[in-house]
Amino acid sequence: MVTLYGREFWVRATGKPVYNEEQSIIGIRGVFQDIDENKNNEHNLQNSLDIIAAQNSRLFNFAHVVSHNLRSHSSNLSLVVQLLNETKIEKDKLELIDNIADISENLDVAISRLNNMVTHHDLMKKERQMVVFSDSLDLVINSISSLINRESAKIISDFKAMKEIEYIPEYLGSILLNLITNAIRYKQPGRKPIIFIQTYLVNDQPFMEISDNGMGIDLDQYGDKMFGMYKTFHSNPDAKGIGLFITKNQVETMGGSISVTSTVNIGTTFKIKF
Amino acid sequence: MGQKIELACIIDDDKIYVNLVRKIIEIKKLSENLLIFKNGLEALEYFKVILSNLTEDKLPEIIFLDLNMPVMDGWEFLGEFVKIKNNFDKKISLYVVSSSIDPRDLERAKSFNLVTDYLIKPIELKKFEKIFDRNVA
Repeated sequence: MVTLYGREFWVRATGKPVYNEEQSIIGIRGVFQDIDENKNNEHNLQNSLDIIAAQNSRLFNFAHVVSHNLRSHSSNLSLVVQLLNETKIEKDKLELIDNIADISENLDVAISRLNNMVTHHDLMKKERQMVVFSDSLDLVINSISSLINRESAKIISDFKAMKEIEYIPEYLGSILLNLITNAIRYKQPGRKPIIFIQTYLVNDQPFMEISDNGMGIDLDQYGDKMFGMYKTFHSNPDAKGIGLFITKNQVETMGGSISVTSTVNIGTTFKIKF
Repeated sequence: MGQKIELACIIDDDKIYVNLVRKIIEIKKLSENLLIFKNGLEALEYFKVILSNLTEDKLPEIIFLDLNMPVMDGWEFLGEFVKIKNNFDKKISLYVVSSSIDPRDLERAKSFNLVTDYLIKPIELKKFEKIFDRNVA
């Protein structure tokens, strides 16, 4: 229903039929009850539930990654120990000891990466503030200027429709950084990367789109895994399979969502709903 | 004993693990030769070439397949390998080897007929020997 001043609100209608002398219904008599507050509470509860379910599934994924990552090193270590017990040749033993050094280094890297991820989650406690898109983008471009120059990448931005947003500045920076470096890293060989960044509003809902002319990706094949942790689709040695996972995490932590469209050999577009 | 496997194959992106298995095979003299691919796609391309050249002596008797790999993971490889495997006359034993202890992975692996067994890393030396022994022609 709508009030005199145009505010919409939820009502519950209860009524009884009104009969005339021939026992046919000629109307309904009853009341409208304002249930706007209850209904809003219900919506809020449902939203909290969705957020918690999403967080839960992220935690589950995280736990899986932790266990898998640590297990792969511990199992290598156990193999080395078994081999050390078996071999009698001095040279083999020395080689195996070298392996232990590698495993220990890998383990160290794995743990510090996991640690990074946890600190990323901690940033949540930071406060939202007004962030100007072009400032954030300038910072990012400065920090990766050597990559941009090396690849002769061109970045075009259009923030006219929405110049700023209330957000955690570090998150916006990290989202831009991840998506831009991805776009450059997965450029179409032989084509200079062009990245187009745009913000806009649809029914007051802010959006940002980042499009590139890169190699694209077959979403039918990889779509559902795209934002998972440690999923890499190219044998690019730089690929750690963690960037998009963090990006999705940050967008969702702020209550938004991210989606992707892509055509192989044409390019990829990421769309963020804030 | 005496006899041993001619050609074994490892599909795994973990270099240290591959090195160690190579060492085990060397020390224990389990196989004459060893093929190594660092992801499913590399391995699949190899098998497709064999298929078109009909050189079955280049086919491994045993494959150890990892699950979590870049580019093409173990599941995708299985999905593709199923389609071409029946074109080979040679018996190939395929073992899925993973550090995942997720029971869902185990179920899923066993749902493939061509998977001989699901092995959880680390594999004990004795287990390796047994597997090679069992597959000697």
